[in-house]
Formats: sequence, C-alpha cells, structure tokens
Amino acid sequence: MKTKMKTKVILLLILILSIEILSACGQEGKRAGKEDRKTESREITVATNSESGGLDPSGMIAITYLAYSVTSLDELLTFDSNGAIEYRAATSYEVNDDATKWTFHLRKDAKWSDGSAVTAKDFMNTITRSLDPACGNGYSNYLFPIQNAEAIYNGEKEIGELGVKALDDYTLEFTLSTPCVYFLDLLRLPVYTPSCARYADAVGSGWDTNPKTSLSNGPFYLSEYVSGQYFTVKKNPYYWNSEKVVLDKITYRFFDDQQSMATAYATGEVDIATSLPANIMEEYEGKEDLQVTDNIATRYIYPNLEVEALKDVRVRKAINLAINREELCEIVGKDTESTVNFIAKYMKNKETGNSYVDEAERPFTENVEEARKLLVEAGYPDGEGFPTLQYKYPSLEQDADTAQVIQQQLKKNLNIDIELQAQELQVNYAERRAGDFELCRMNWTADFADPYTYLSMLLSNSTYNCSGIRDEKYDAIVAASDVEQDTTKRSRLIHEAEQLAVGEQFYIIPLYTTKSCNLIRPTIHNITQIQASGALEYRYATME
Amino acid sequence: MGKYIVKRIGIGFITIFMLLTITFFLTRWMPGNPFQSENISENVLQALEKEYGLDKPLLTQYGTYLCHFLQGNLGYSYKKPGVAVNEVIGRTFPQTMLLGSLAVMTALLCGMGIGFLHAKTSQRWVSRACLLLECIGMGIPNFMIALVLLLIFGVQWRLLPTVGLNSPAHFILPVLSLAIYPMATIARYTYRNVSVELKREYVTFARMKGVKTPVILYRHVLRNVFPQILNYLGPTIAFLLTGSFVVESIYTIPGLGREFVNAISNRDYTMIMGLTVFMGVLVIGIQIIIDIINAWLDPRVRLSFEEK
Repeated sequence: MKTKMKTKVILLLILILSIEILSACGQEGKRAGKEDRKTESREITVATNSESGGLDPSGMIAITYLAYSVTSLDELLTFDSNGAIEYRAATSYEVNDDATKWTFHLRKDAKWSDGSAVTAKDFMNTITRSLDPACGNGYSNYLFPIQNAEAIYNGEKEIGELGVKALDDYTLEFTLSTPCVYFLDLLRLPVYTPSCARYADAVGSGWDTNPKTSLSNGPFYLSEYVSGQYFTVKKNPYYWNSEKVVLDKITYRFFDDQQSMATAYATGEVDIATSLPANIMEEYEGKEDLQVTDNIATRYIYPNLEVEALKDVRVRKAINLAINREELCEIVGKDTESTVNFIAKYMKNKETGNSYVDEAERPFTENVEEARKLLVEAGYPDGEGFPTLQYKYPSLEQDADTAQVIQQQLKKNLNIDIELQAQELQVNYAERRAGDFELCRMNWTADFADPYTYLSMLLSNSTYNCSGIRDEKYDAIVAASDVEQDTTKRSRLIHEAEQLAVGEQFYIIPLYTTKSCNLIRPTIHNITQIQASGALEYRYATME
Repeated sequence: MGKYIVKRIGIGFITIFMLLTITFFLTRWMPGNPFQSENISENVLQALEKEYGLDKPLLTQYGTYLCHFLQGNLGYSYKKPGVAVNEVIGRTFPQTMLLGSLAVMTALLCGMGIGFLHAKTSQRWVSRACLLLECIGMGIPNFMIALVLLLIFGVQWRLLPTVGLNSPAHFILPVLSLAIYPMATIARYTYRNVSVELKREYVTFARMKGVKTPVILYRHVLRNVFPQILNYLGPTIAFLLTGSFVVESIYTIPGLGREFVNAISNRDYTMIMGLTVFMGVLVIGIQIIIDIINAWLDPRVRLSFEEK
C-alpha cells in the first residue's frame, strides 16, 4: 500500500509540473507575440556573426564592436558616399601647413546617452588606454603617427608626453611626428572614438557590456547585452541629430553560422542578414530582399614566418603559384572574386577614381610548373620531406570550403599536406593575434578609405602583423608614402610596397575579394553603405 | 534502504574521483597540451600558473586541482583569455537544463501515453498509428527531425520562432526535436511491457473481481511497468541535460552541448577538462538519483542488496 502511494505521489508531481510549464509556455508565448506586434513598426533585428571581442574601443576589436559602433558611436568626422567630409562629434578642424598639427573643435551640443556632455577628455580616454599593450587592441598602431605614441606604447616614454592635448573641453589638438596625408581617414578607427571617461576605466572591467556604464554619443545606446545571444541598442534621446533617427530599437543577434542567419531571415526572425552564403543569391534571385554589395575586403592566408619551412621565400612563392584561384572561387561561390593583390580589389584611388589594383601590375601569375621547380630548389622535390602544415580557420561555411579546396590543390599540385583545423571565430582571432599558427586564414575589410589600411598591417611595428614579418625595406617605402604629399608619387610608392610584400617576398597568400550577399526586408529603407569598408549602416534607416 | 543509499552515494563519489584523476592526467600527458605551449599570451600564462601552480610538482598540482574542484572552481579557458569554465557553465547550463527537462517530461508523458494507448486499443487504425509514430520517432535521427520541424513550422507556415530561447514559444520546436526519439522509445517500452503485464494472472484476477480497466491499468499495471521505464530514463535524462550540439546549432541556442563541441574543435584543453568533469558529475548524480528512486519503488532492488 505504501509503495502504491509513493508511485501516485511521484506521478502526480510530474503531471502537475508539466501541465503548469506547458500552460505557462502557451500564455507567455501569446503575450510576447502581442508585444512584438505592437512595437514591430520601429524595431529591426539584425543578424550578426558570433560574439567576438568586446565593445570597448580600446579593447579587442572584432565583429561585435564594429556592429555596435556603426550605430552607436560618433567619430570626430567621416566621409559620405561622395567623399565629402561629414562632421559628427566635431564641427570643424584646422591643420597647419606641414600637416603635423590638427585641431578639432568638438560639437558643443553633443551628449552622452545619460545626458552629460561629450568632452575632449573622453577622446583622450580611449587614446591613452589604447596605448597600453596589455589592452590587446589591434588598432593601437594607427595612433603611432601621433608624436611619442609609439614610444609610449613600447614603454619608453610617459603618457604625459603624448602629442594629443585637450586644450579645453571642446578642443582637441593632435601633434604628429611626421605629416600624415590620410590622418582624417584614420579618425573613424576605434582608437580615435570617445569612451566616457567617468565609466570607461579599464579593458576587461566589464563597463563596455553593462548598459548602465556603456554610454554612447551616437544615435543609439546599448540597452541590453546578453552574452552569446544578442544585444540591443535603443534610440538615444540626447543625440544631437536625433530628429533624423527614425528607428527606436535595433537588436543584433549572434549567429554561429551563415546558413542559420538565412533561415532566421526566412522565418521572419531577423530583418537584415548580411554576408550570407552564395546559394542565397540563387534562392532569392529577382526578389527585392536580395541586395548584393561589394566588400572592400581581401581574404588571404598568413604563412607564419617563424615556421622553418615557411621562412624560405621560395616555399611561400611556390604555395602562392600553386593555388588556382579561379577554380577556388568557382567552387566556393559566386560571392567571391579571385585576387592576387593585397589591397582590396574595389578600393578606389580618390584622385583618379580607378581602383588601385587596376593601376598596377599583377604582383604574380599562378604557374604550377614554376611552383614545383621552386619547391625542388627549396629542397622538397615533389613535396618530399615537407612538413604537414596546420591551417587554422574560423568554422564558417565559406572558410571551410576554401580550406578544403586549397588542401586539395596543394596536394595535387605540390604533393604537400595541409591539416585543417576549424575554430570558433573568437578563438581564431585570439590565436592569430598570439602568432599561434602555421597557416592562418585572414580577412581584412578596409577600415578607412586609403590603401594604408592594408599596407600598415605588414609593417614591423603593426599590432596586426602576427606572422613575424620584419622587413626594413618595406617599412621604409610605406613610411615614405605616408609623408608624400604628391598624390601621383604616393600612388607609385604604394604600388611599390605592395609589389614587394606580395610579388617578391610573398608574405601573404591572397585568395579572393568578397561580395556581401545581404537579405533586407523590402520595407526597410535608407540603409547606407560605409564608403571605406562597404559595410551597411543603419543609423538613419526608415521603415514603411 | 539507508544502507543502500549510503553505498550508492559512496560508489558515486569514487567514480567522480576516478573521473577527476583520469581527466587531470590525460590533459597533462596530451601531446601539445597547453602547459607545454610556447605560443601563449602572457596574461593567460600567468592566470594558468596561478591557477594550477605550474611551477610545483605534478602531485601538488593534482592536489590543488582537487581542492579547487571541491570549492566548485573548474578552472579557466586557455583559448579565450579571462573566461572561466564556471562562467561558461553558468551562462549555458540553465538553458540546456530547461530545454532538457522539458524534453524529458514531454518524452515521458507522451511516450507512456502512446504506449498505453497502443497496448490497450482494440481499434486497428489506432494501433497502426501508434506503431507508425514509434517507428518514425525511433528511426529518424534528431537532426533530421529538427530540420524538418524548422522547415515546416518555421519557414513554411511561420507558426513558431526558430532562433534562440527568448520566449516560451521558442522552446516548442527544440523540445520536440529532442523529445521525439526518447518519446518513441518510451512508447515502445511501455507498449511491450504493458502487453506482457495485461496477460498476467493478476490482471485476469482483478478483472474477474470486477475492477474497472482504468483502475487496473493505473493501480496495478503502471506500478510494474514504471521501474523498467525508469531504468531507460536515467541515461536519457543525462543525455538530454548535457545538451545536444545538433539541436542547439540548428536553433541557435547558446547551450552546453555547443560549447563542449566548440571547446573540442578549439582544442581548448582546460575548457574540455572542466566541462567533462561537470558533465561527468551531472551524469553520475542523475544515475544515483534514479537508482535511489528505483530502490524506493521496487523492493526487489533494495532487498537484493540487503540480502548480501
């Protein structure tokens, strides 16, 4: 009898629990659905790649920050689609004759999202914090044109000697060590973006993802951050230009893979999904939702020069010549276009209006025969004795396909083995930065509209140079191009530097440039494209 | 009964201890393990050194590791600087647990319901329908079910959300995807056992006494069938509570299963170690609870122990 009772009690408990949960599910589901519909009109949900890096402009910058900053942070100034200056946090600037002293006058009506004023100190806050190597910011080296910045970064000078001064609350003065012709282009980089001095104390303290302390000076502010799932930004009522901002809320949802993004678009759970796989182009062909944009980007592979076999320029050249990029792009998808250049295929020369790549000679031409000969010269006839190299790449469809094609091609053409290792995006970034790889996939989307965004990556002192490149000749050419005020001469130097790095020393293995296959609800308008990177911007988006 | 519980818990502790020991030494002996790597950032190295006392002898390190475990500290990720294993578990386990428990309950209730119906029905089409459900559920892998459900309810009809776990409605499809296989298995178990029990003499006797069928089923048959289902339920609960990589990936759920598979593909040894230990403790804990319930319900189990 006792056992009977026990059984009853257990069964009853299970039954009650499940009924309660199921009924709760139903009710809350209905409630949530209603709320969604009520506010549907002014909210959009954007699919973004899996969480990587934080939101601190001085911290580790990756996709999450870039998505956030585009809508939430105002840089001093930027360039519109016609290449004209668009003032944001600043209202004007002056520069001296030799382009070494730049003074910016800040907008007096600019406010943080808590209503307090944005001052020159907030800009200084990001800059000084970024000059600590421990912060792990990949953009620190773009502060190096500033007087003493590099010495401070290397611990040779005190922060007080930095060539940036807040003359008063609304005047910011930069003193450069040498003239820098593209200085205004640099201003859209994270390290030149403000972070509120009252809260943004240190990288990794968590202020950046906490909505209470993570203030913004742009059209939207952070209202919620759920690690691993999503973050939301709401319209900033204190924004100086808030009249033009139509949307009330944007939710950025993290996705591990691109196919899930496309599915989420199909089910109506996201309104915008970018960088989707190429098959989407066929699926949505002729539909209004599909918008294909050119990325100003180059996908390439870093061979680590610390690896014995890869120290030999003949080996690097052989690998470069043995890859059939046309075939690769055909297999990987319609959203790729082969390239043998480092500077992105669609980056335009502001002076001539042509793309940089078209103005210069091809750095090299693929040639399997020659590649084999080079490998023999390097002491690996028919791949004999060549070590198995490990190739690390993020586990995204496009990169996984690319990795397999390259593995096959190198096996077929050079008889060498590549071991594939797919990783989470965040881990891939971290390991690349730490130099912990043999071959590593890299994608570089232009941060600003000048080829320096590419060339600077391979400089000996670049924080993004993670493959051990130390080339004085290259550094000298790039340095010369920095100060060259004559645009024709400067272009020549830029081409010379690229030729040296890609066509002579083969420091990288360029693969292709990408098109971004985007799905956007036809009811959403006024999405603009950032001129420098080709990325989409939603700050002034409207809805029908 | 008390003795049985003490013994069962004792065995559990020994198993956990062995799991800890094996995991600890395996990660130390693994080729290219984090503790030998040269390419490791200064911050992580310092954290690791502090955490594991790397400068000390192996046995001391092992002692420290056990101490940390007893304090509930499972260590730090070696690939994601500054991320603690506890933090990852804290973020992902609640979702996985909720999803898993709902799946277990759905599987148990629906499975037993279908099983009883199948065994008891006299109508041929009901019997066939039940059989079809059981076969489909057991024959189709959960990733396929997850995709088909997503396609039908998410993409075609747009009835249910498919991304994340924001509202209760978000739970329906992933829970179904996880529950269908165990549900079919439980239905099969129930059907088979109930059919056998119904032919037993005590049922005939009860019928002769004029006891109504529902009462026979509920009061007599269920009592004999349930312990057998419970045995199947143990591993199933453990499986569902440790998360499913496939279902979590398809429905973009930041759960434990996905984190574990990611840790493996990232070769994040300390994370793998921490998660393995956590899942191990979970599985062992669940099994102990199931065993104790089993002994409580079924006198044969505890008597067999007491006789010894």
